[in-house]
Amino acid sequence: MLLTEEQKDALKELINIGFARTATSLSELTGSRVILKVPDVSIYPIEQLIPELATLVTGEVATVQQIFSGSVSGNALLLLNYEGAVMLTELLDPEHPNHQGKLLESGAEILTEVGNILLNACLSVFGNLLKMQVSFSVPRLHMEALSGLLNSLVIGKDELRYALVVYTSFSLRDNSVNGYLVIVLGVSSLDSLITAVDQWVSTA
Amino acid sequence: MIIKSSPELAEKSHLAEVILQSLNNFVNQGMFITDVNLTIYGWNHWLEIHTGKTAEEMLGKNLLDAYPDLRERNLTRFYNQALEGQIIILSQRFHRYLLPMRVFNNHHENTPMWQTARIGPLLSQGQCIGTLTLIDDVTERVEREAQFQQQIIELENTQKNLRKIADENLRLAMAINSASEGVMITDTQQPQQKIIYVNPAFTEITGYLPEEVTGHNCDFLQGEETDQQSLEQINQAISEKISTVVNIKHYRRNKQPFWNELKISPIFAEDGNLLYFLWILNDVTERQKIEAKISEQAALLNIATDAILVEDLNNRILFWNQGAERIYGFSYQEVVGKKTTDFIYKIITIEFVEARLSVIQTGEWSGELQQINKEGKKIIVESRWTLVKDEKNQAKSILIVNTDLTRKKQLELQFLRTQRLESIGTLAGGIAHDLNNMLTPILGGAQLLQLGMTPEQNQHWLKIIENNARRGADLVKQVLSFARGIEGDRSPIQLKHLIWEVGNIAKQTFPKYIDVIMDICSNLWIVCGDVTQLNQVLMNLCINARDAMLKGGTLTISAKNVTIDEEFLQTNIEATIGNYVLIEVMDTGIGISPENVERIFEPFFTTKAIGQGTGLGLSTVLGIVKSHHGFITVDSKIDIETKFQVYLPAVESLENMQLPRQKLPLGDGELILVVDDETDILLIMETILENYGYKIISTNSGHEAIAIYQRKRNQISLVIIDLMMPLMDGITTIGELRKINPQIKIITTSGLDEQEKMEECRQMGIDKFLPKPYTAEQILKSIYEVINNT
Repeated sequence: MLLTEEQKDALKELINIGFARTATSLSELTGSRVILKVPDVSIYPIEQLIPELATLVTGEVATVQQIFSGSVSGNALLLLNYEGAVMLTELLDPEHPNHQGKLLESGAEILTEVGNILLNACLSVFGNLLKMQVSFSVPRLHMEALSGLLNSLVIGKDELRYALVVYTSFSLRDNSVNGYLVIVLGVSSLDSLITAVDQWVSTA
Repeated sequence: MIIKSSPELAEKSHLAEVILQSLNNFVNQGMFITDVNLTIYGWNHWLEIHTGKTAEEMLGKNLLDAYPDLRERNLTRFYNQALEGQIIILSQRFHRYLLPMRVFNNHHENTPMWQTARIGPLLSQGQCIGTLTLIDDVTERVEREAQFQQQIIELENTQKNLRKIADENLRLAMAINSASEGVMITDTQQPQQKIIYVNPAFTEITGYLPEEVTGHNCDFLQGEETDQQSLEQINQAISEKISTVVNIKHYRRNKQPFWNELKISPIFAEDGNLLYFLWILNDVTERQKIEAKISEQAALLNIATDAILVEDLNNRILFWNQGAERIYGFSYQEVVGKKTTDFIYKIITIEFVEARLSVIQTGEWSGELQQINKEGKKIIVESRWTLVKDEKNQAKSILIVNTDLTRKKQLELQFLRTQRLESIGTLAGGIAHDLNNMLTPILGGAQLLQLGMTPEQNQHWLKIIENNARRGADLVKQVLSFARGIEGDRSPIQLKHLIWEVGNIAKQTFPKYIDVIMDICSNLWIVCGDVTQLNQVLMNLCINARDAMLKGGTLTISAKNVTIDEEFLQTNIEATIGNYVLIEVMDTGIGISPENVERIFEPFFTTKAIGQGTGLGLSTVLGIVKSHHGFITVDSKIDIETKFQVYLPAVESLENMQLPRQKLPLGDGELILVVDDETDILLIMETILENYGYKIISTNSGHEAIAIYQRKRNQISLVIIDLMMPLMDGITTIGELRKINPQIKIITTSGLDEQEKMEECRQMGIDKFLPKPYTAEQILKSIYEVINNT
């Protein structure tokens, strides 16, 4: 299933609205200006996600993962390569530099909080769009190889599933870190979402 | 957690309450529940303990009333988000804590509790009915992380320091490796001072490879000529743990000896324990050779009898060898840095200025210089100057080598004097004969005059007497000037007069069987020379000529001007281009054989019989001619003739110098007192002075002269006194006269041409000295000069 350019633009616009709020709250938390940008969105069948992401991130990744349920249910992840994750925590909390590129527990907690904020914003946008309540699970941080993570997403589900990938760029303190927001949905949930997007476009 | 309703449990009680009750006491974290208005409905035991606030106290209270700072810290938004269904994570790093609590930390100090918190919605059938907050105490974790961070910082600093030390060691090692001096380190902890390290320069110097020497004692460097004293010095330094430097003969791997300047230093640990000995080897074999050579050269310079000195361009002494110390009497310490013009050149002579100019312009100069030594005595040196330049070819200093000629010059003078005496001896016979010849007509004439004759006859005889007396005076003058033996200064001379004089002496004194012919060019050029010496040259040549003509013959003395050109130079290497006066002395005697011609100028070479000649004559002639920058040639044919040609350089500028004949000055009636024991002289003086406008009072005694002067001191303008008088001599008389009038003007005269007397007069401030016999012209000029102070 591919998105039309119009749908892409609409999704980008919707997510940007949510991210604007997120950026403000991150700026408040860190005390320095944070800018979040969505340069692109894409939809892939879950099987294609692995090779696609493999071109973008390699090696160990840090993910903040959150399961959501309701009339639309699925799995939402903020995915950063490990170095990006370390760098982001340092940019957000410069008073506590990491050593030799390793995240300590407190640093990882920051990443969880930030990922949670981001995922909440994004899913809230969709919830509002679909006019339904989405319930969230507690976000969890994982550090593992990309392939292991993605396999866990694929295995054990019968339904045909798709992944909405939101390319996300954090800019703060003259630096930027790229991450990927991945929302894995069943085909029916995705269908409802795209229908709602189309409706939003036509009413707007 | 999904909770499924159990009918059994549901029957017994309200399930949710049961679970909550259990969690309340079970979980190791803070947990509280609010409704949508944030009124507290649950407050677990953990919170009771850590907040100190009981559930009883807290239930029913609004959260924001219980903790107003939540609003101040802008945390209420998170509760709003939770009520919207979101789950909120509050990290310790960003928020530090949710509710203020205190704990005892690892060090049992009461500190703030660091917390992380999760806030979630309480959902019932899709509706949010309140919030659930969970608080974790992460104080210990934060502290642990802080400690960890500190340890990491320390670790990093340690690593940095280690790196720095490693870098320094590396640099040090590289420096030792590239050092040109051999380095050897021995371990004092091991017996026998075993070598633990040698650098590449060590191998280069000794030829031993590191693997050959490591673990060994360094005594393999010693050999049969290694001296025991140096070894003892090394052993002493090692046992006393001190540094030392020795110059020791060591041997390379190929058994070749070398001089090793060995520096040994102990290396101590921080605790003062001796760890190692550092040995620095320096091959100084070449340097020692050079030093030995330099000291040898210095010794040679000092052995030299010549004075060797180096002065800078301002005449300041930089070097002064022992030869110079001997010649001048000044030690090196006395003269170093001083100007030579301040102590060895009291008077700056033309030669000195010329030497300075020449050495700067051409780089060298040589010639004779007059200097003085420490005792103030005049010394004459043959001096050779060379300009020393630096590496940029800039003049730096002047190297001067001075050979002391003083003694040689004295010997030369003695030679000349001896020679003159010899000549006088030779001449004495002739002079005696001649004087007798002159005295005979004088005596005869005087007797005839007493007989009374006609005035014409009287005049005739007087004329004869006068002529003979004059000849006698001339002869005496010659002899005196000959015997004077004083160096005359070089002055322009018209040789014509000198040659006439010598020729006349020859005519008067040589045997009558020798004809003397004189052929002198009338406009002979002037030469610069010493009259006495040139007189001696001519006399010598004439006497030799006489002695060569024992059977009679002709002596020809001629003089003319010649100009020497390049062609002439080819046959006479001593000549230079220019104008010369040529004096020829030619005889028609026995001649000189060709083999003797070669030797006649050698000192002490003579062909005359023993007792008749010293063999000094011609060598003296040659010496004098050379000192006049002239040269001499000989041409002889056996039994026919011998010709000596003396070339003396003409003074160009004085070529036509002729003193104009001055008119004799006249007096203006001044009164002159003449004192002379010779009455004849008084009479002549009376005649002369009165004829030339003076008045005269005369006396033949010193006493009377004083009496006259006392009476007429105001009238008397000048006193002329003979120095040689009986009773009161001239000097005494002058002394008395001076007492009467210290400003008295005096002319002295004397029949003896005595140097001492003249000197005495000069010292007494006598205005003028006139040697006898003097002419009217001389006395009149002298009187005029003294009276008028000209």
